[in-house]
Amino acid sequence: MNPRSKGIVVALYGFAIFWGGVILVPFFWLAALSVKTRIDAFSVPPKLFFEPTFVAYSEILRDSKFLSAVLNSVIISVSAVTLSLLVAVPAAYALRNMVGPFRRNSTLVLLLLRMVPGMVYLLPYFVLYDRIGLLDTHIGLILVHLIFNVPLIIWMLLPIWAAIPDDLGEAARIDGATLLQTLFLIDLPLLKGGILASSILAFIFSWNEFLFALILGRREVITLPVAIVNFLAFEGTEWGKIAAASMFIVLPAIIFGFFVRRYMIAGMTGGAVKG
Amino acid sequence: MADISLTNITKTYANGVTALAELDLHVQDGEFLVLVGPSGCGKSTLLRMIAGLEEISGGELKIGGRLVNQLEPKERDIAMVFQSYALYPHMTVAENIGFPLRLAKMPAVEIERRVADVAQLLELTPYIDRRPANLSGGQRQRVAMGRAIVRKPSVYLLDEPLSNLDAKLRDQTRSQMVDLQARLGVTTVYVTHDQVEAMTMGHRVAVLKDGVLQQCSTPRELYRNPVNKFVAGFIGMPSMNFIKVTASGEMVNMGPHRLDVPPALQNEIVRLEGRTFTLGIRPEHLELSEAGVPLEVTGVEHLGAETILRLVLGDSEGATQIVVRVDGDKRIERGETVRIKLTEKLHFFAADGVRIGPAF
Amino acid sequence: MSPSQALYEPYWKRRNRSFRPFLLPALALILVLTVIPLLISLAISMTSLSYVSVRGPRFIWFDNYINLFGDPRFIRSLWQSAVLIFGPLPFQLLFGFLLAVVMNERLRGLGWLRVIFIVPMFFPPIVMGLMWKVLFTPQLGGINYYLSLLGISGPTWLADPTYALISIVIATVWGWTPFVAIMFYTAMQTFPSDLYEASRIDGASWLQQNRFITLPLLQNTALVVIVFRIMEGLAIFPIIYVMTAGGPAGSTETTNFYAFVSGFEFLKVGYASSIILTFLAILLIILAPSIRMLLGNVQPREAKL
Repeated sequence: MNPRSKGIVVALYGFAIFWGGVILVPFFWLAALSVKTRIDAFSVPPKLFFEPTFVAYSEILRDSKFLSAVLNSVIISVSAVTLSLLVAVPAAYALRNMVGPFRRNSTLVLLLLRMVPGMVYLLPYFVLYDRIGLLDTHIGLILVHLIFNVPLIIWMLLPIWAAIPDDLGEAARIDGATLLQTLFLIDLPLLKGGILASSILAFIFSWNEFLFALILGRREVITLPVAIVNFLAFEGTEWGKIAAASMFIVLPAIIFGFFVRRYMIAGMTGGAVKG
Repeated sequence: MADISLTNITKTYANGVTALAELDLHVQDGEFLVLVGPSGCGKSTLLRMIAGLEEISGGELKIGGRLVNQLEPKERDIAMVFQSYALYPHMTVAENIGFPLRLAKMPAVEIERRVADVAQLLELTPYIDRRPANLSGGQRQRVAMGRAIVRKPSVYLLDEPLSNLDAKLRDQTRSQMVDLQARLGVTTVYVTHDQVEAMTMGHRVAVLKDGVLQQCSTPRELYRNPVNKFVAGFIGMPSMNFIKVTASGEMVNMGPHRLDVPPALQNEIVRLEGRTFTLGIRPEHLELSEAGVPLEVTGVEHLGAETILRLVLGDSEGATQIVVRVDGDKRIERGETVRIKLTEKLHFFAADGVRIGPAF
Repeated sequence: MSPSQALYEPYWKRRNRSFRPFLLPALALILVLTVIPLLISLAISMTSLSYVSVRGPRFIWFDNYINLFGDPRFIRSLWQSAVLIFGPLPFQLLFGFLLAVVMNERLRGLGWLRVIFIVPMFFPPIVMGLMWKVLFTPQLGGINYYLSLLGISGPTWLADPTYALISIVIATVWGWTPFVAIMFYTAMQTFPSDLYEASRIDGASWLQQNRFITLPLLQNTALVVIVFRIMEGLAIFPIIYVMTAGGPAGSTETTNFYAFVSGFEFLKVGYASSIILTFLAILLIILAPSIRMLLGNVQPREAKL
């Protein structure tokens, strides 16, 4: 790139800082709300400096419904990711090594089915689960998460896997390894980082999922995003709790997200990115 | 110990491209055979077929008298060294070398002993706990060799194992590998595109072109009696000169020039009277002389012990470049005119490239 | 299998067969989890299935689909979907491009901003919606207070049909501009630097380089971005759900949301299915050419951040 003129440099810095503000100010506003008293929250002009209070946090942490929502979210996200890994990793291994049209078609089908809007699946799942008694169960929600997590993990692993040279697998074959041994002794140790990253990303998507949780979980299996919305029912009185609960759900996502940021694109686009 | 016999070996890809056509080759027990040819000639494919990494489309492959077409690599009793070495990045040198033994479920103590032996043999003992990333190119190459040796297979397959080393190290390693093979006496098939490697390492050299075996002979025979123009041009540095000539009496005509042929070959020329053919002359088989056709020196490469001259023989149809190798003591400058004469070491090739001259 | 058959079997077939057991569980699982519901959905959409009706569901062929086009709420939802999908796009593309340029310039001291920029990508949509609901709520959010300092009397935002739509567009721009930025930034990193060096020797200024090299090279990426934004324009369901719940007066109700309301508030599941399937069909028709283009170039990659 050319040396930039002073004016351009100033403009670039200006825009960068402006957008930094656009991102951070709303976030901090919400964070501040979680430690404001009700009076501070509604004061006009808004109070930028106030005595923080952690009443909202202590309230939600004593709220058994909220705690069970945390537990449900953890159970569902972790199980969904674990189950997804169990089928997605071998599948990515196969797709990495297969050749010909079958490989290509399978890969595309997995991508396309994932791109179908969730609402399309939601209605039949509701009807189906209603009939077979899977409504309001962990397993019901976990199964639905697989639809999105399995292709996500496969799609994230494929480019990383492709970077492992063919020679290694062939050398292992010459050395007498079966395909399963090659997977466990050669590929997986080399893919540790990628598998961790794809698990984290899948976890974030599961953790953030709202639509299916709203309908397919009802009274027992309420996840965090749904629990927060339930606070809205007491609108006007619970803003502190809503903000505090929001922090609970957003912070893990951001912290984990920080570690997998470079894989984000492959995850969000299903890898269909062309230069 | 085992011999390898290939009968009618054919490789056809799904898209109909034929990589190898009905190839017959026999590698003797304990032999060091080099497969050489330009890129895309099918030499690596052939090696991978012997290894069991590529399907054999047709023909029979026997190792130690056993038909192995359908066997997995591990059942063929072979070991292979890859061009990239294919070392497992997450394993130490010891773990890399010991990997085949570990897969064979050998007791840990035995693995350790054999890895130590191989490390000793290849002078890798000080690096045994390092990862491949922390090794030099030469050390990596030796680890790859070690992984092949440790199983004591009956066949080694080497796919351009030296091409990733720098020139000096390559020369050293070449002779070490020859020594090692001689010591272990294991049947070896070695693929390279480098004819110097082929000539210096192989007991026999098989030259491939476009999936067809051209010639399989000792290096000496390959150099002296190439069966066709391709082999003649491929073997030897600098390459053989090819001059299109017409036999006329006891001499040959090359455009307007007439070249004298040494007396010993004059009968041969007389036999070819009137025919147009290609004269093949190695640069080292041309001599500077007082008489003969005058040629302009257009390039001089001083290599020290010898000097390579690029000469141009002009005629009405254009110019033919002729390369001559002369003693390094001779002082010849670019732009000079020299005269050359033919020696008895001439090769004759028909229009289709097949050798027609006498054997040496 | 006779030996001669095996002898001539193409290599890739044999190779694929040995890997197939690794692929099948995932493929079977995903097909079961998606194709069966899709078929059920298709079947339901041809019935009068409703959880409030006393009568059992009847098979009514395409009546639901035919009724759709006489349903003003459906037609309106299509229009509002288009607004909410295409409204934010120009802003996302513009800001995304500017952010990508900023990121690509590697300005001193701004490394940490690159991390900040992508924070919204990990934001749970539900929290994104809540956050903007807070901001747009009078008194609680302070937006109108600061506008009043500038002498502007702010609208009632979420309570006003026009501004409710704009509020959601603003939230969407906030949430998905980072995605666009990262897509552009990733693409920019692959542009060969000698292009820029050559143009510099040819005397191009920094602005000209961006105008004549960077922008044209980003065309493909922009297309990918647009396709994904259209596809995922539906992902803003949680945002609408918490910010406006489709209101006021249905002014922010997308087709997606209408299907949700029909299915889970009116409990007319058959009708809801026909709504969402029709919408999916419309999406596919719009996207079919570009999806083929995309999938022809399936080439996964990662971003360097």
